[in-house]
Amino acid sequence: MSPLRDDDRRELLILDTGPIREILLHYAVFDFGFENLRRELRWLPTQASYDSCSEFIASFRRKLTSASVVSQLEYWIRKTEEQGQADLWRRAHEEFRNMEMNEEVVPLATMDVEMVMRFGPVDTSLIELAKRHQGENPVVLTVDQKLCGHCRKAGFGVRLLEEL
Amino acid sequence: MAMAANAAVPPLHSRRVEAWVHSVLNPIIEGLGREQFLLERGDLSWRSYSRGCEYIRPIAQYIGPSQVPNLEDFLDDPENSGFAAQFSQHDHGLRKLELSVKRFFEGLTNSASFTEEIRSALQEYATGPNSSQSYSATMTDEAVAKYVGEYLINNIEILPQHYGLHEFWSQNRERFLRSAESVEFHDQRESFRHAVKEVLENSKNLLGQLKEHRRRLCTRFDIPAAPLPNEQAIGA
Repeated sequence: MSPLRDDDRRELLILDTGPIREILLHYAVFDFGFENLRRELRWLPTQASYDSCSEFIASFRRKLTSASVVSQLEYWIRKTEEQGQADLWRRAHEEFRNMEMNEEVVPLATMDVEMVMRFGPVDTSLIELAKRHQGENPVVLTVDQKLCGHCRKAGFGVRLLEEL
Repeated sequence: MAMAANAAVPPLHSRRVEAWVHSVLNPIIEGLGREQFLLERGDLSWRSYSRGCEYIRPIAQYIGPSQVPNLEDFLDDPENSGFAAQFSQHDHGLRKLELSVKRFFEGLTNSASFTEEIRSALQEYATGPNSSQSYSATMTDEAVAKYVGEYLINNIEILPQHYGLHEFWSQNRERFLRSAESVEFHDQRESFRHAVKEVLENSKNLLGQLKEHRRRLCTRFDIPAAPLPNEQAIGA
C-alpha cells in the first residue's frame, strides 16, 4: 500500500465538492425519488457504492470542508431545474447536519496566487485546509484527478471517490 | 375572478396551454409522485427544526417561483375548473398531517418516560463496549431526543453509516419503537396515522386526475406532454 494512501489514522476527512454532490444526488434519487437527477449520478450509482463511501466517511472522527466548496455547490444547484433547487438545498443542509460537517473559510487574499491560477480557488482552499490541519493527518476525498495528484505530491493523504 | 381572456377557448397549439402542461402540471405530477413514494414507505420527511414535511409540500411549492403566474392562470381558466378546490384540499390535509405529527412529536419529547428512555440509552451507549462511533460532544440529550422523534416519525430503519447517530440508532431503534407504541401516546399516534392515510389517499386521487387532465389537454390542443429535447423548456 502506498504510504500516501494514509487513511488509517482516521482523524480528519476534508471533502471536496464532487463527493458531496454525489452523496446528495444518490440520496435524492434513491431515498426521495428525484428520478430526473439519476442521469447525473456518476460515482455512486448503486447502493453498494454508496455504502462503501458512507463507511469510509464514517471512519473519520471529523469531517471538514471549505466555504468555497459550499459556493461551488450553489453554482451546481443553480444550474439544475428551478423547481428542484429548494429540495437540493434542503438535502445539502440535512447532509451537513447529519454528518456533523465543519466548514472553514480560506480567504482568497491568503491563498497562494500561483496555486489559484493553477487549481482554482476551490481546490486551493482544500489544499490550504490540509496544510492548516496537518497535525490531524487529514485525508482529502475528491473526484478530481488533478487535485489528487497534487495532494499526493505534497504528501497529504488523499482518496478518489472511485477508489472506495 | 376569471380574466376576460379566459372566456375564449385557447387555440390549437396554444402556448398558454403548453405552459400549463410543462410548467404547472408536470412539476405537480412529479411532486405528487414523490409524495406517494415517501408516504407508502411511511417516510414523511418531517423535520423537528421546521415542524414540517420537507419533501411533501403544498401544491404551489412544487412549481418553480418564476412559474407561479402560470399556476394562477391555470387555476383561473374554466378549462381547469375544480383543481383550485382540490389543491386546497391537498394543502389542508397536509396542514392537518403536520399538526398531528407535531403533537405526536411534542408528546414524545415532553414525556418524562420517553426522555428517560433516551437518557438511559445514551448512557448505556457511551459506556458500552461496542460503541465505536461517537457523536459530537455538542449533541445534547435534548438534541438526540429530537432526532429520535424524527426518525420514529419518518419510519427510519437504518441511517447511513457516516451519520453521527448511525450506530446509536441501530442499537436502540427497537427499544424506542416499543416506547413510542406505549398507551401514553395512543391518541396522538392514531391521529397522526389517520392523517397520513388521508394525505396519501388525496394525493393518489389528485395524481390520477392530473395525469388524465394532462392527457386531455395534450390531445385536445395537440401539444407534447413534455418539451421536446431540442426546445428550451419553459422555466428552465
